[in-house]
Amino acid sequence: MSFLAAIRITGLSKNYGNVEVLRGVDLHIANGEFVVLVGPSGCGKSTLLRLIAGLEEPSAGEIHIGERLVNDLAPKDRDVAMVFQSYALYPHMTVRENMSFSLKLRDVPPQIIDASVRAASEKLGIQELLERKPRALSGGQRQRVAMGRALVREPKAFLFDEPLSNLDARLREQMRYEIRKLQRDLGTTSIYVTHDQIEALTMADRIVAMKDGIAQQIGAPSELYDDPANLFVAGFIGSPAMNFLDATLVEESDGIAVMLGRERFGKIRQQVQLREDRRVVVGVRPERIELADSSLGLPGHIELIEPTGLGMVLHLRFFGHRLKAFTAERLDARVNGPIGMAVAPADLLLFDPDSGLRIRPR
Amino acid sequence: MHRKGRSYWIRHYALISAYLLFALFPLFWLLKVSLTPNNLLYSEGVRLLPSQLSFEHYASVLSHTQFPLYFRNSVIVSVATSLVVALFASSAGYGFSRFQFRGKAWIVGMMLVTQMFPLVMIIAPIFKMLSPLGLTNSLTGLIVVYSAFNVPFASFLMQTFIDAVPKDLEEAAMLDGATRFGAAWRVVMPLTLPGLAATMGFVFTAAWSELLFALMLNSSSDASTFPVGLLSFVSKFSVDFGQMMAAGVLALVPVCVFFVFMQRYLVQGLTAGAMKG
Repeated sequence: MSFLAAIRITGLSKNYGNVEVLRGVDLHIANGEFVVLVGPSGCGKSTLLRLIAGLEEPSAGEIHIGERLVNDLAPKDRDVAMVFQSYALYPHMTVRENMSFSLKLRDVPPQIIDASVRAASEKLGIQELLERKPRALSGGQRQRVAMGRALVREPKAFLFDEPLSNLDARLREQMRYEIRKLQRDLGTTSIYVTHDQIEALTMADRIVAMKDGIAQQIGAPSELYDDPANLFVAGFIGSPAMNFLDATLVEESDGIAVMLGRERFGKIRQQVQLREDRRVVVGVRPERIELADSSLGLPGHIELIEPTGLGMVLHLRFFGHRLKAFTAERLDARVNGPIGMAVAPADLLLFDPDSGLRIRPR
Repeated sequence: MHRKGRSYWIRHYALISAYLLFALFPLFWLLKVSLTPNNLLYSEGVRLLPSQLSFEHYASVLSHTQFPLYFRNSVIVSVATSLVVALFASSAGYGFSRFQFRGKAWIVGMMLVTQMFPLVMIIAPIFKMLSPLGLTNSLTGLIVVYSAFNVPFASFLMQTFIDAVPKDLEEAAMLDGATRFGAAWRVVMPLTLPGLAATMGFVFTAAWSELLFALMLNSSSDASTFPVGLLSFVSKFSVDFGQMMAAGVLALVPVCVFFVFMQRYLVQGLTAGAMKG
């Protein structure tokens, strides 16, 4: 078991010709931490992972694994294991050969290889599959073998490149749990790439939300959810997604009113730095919109109701503005009927309409 | 699944049989003539089977002509050519498939250009080049020339086979502790064996049946290959068809053996199951 496998990334950039895929990413990953890189496709998350693996060369910046600068180290000397989206099992080798490949290359004695493969396959419940070829395995089994191949090595770090995106929803949920549990037990530093914000929220110690090659926000899942740094993070994390409304702020004696056109939508109690034109984008999480009888609160109009089992998503209209609200209660609401809404002041997040940055209370 | 009707299968097999008949009939005729004794060869005319079979042509080809020597020469030249080409073509194909480098398009273009000339055009210059090097009248000379002419096409062939091996597999091997060469050797190579077999088969048969260079570059019979040898059955006043056909049948044997040996690799779809499935 290797200790001191913290990963330190400073000013890391990657260009392909004139295309900047990664722009000055700084990220410190503590030993044993599970960090998820999340973002839409093309955001640079896979490139970042491949740079750490050594499959791509950085254009600028440094990568340290443990105490060692690995910029010029070949992938084989970095002592990291990677689980690919395609699993990348060697098709001409049995499961056992797949799992023992890396140990054989390291001239590990056969008895030890045997023991490691046995231990790893028991952990993953694939003992029965050892003599099979990958093509005789189901998707879920292949996924486990790919995990097993990483596991036997006891590497400094695990790198996961969208490992669950080829599985069906039920299996994905199960593997999410298994990967996380395995990682907790082993305490191996892990970096996990996904485009699925649910995976990020459920698995990560810390999330790195990425867009356009820039780490937009780095923090614990609850931090990104409750306190997003900008419009992108606010909109990407959470499902159903946050509502964004163009609003203007009007100062009043006891606070600042949030106006949607000429209608008052809510009120903020804290002081904020206002722009000259007082324009703002206001964000509200669907589940933070309180719903009530139509005689109370702001007058809403129900356009559509989507039951989710757990609760329901209501598509609402408020004076021409569209909103989504989520409630776990079984409301007696009807499509095309009226409904009352209210939003607590603390649940109104303000963003600069031009830069997209969060406007925080002073 | 919809079950095909009987008439479908009848038509199916009728067409296949017609094709096989068309393709194999010349071979049958070769075999037939080679087994027909000389005295019946002209007298019986165009009969499907001779009234009497004899191996006299085979016996005389093996004992009274230089054919065994030509045969040995052909084996040496073809095997060596296919090995040399396999080595260069798989390396070049790997390079074309996996690397981006300056001038790649030019190199590919130049390799295509080499395939565009009629070979007759360049026999004289090639002879001029090989002669001072002592490579005329030698099997080595033929191996060099055949290799040079087969590498470009074989490289393109190998490139498409290597393209079909997912890059992920190689990257996985490199993270597992292999060098790039190690990954290519242990992962890419085994998966492109069917392609390599096909390429070698192609090159082997090309070298095996090549006549033009073999005839022009090597005048001594010590360094003649069997296609040249076959010509020796054509003399000024007559053609010894019986012996020629017997020699032809014998010449088919190694090619058949080669393909029987390679067939296992040709039909194996090894990459199945590598990706998502």
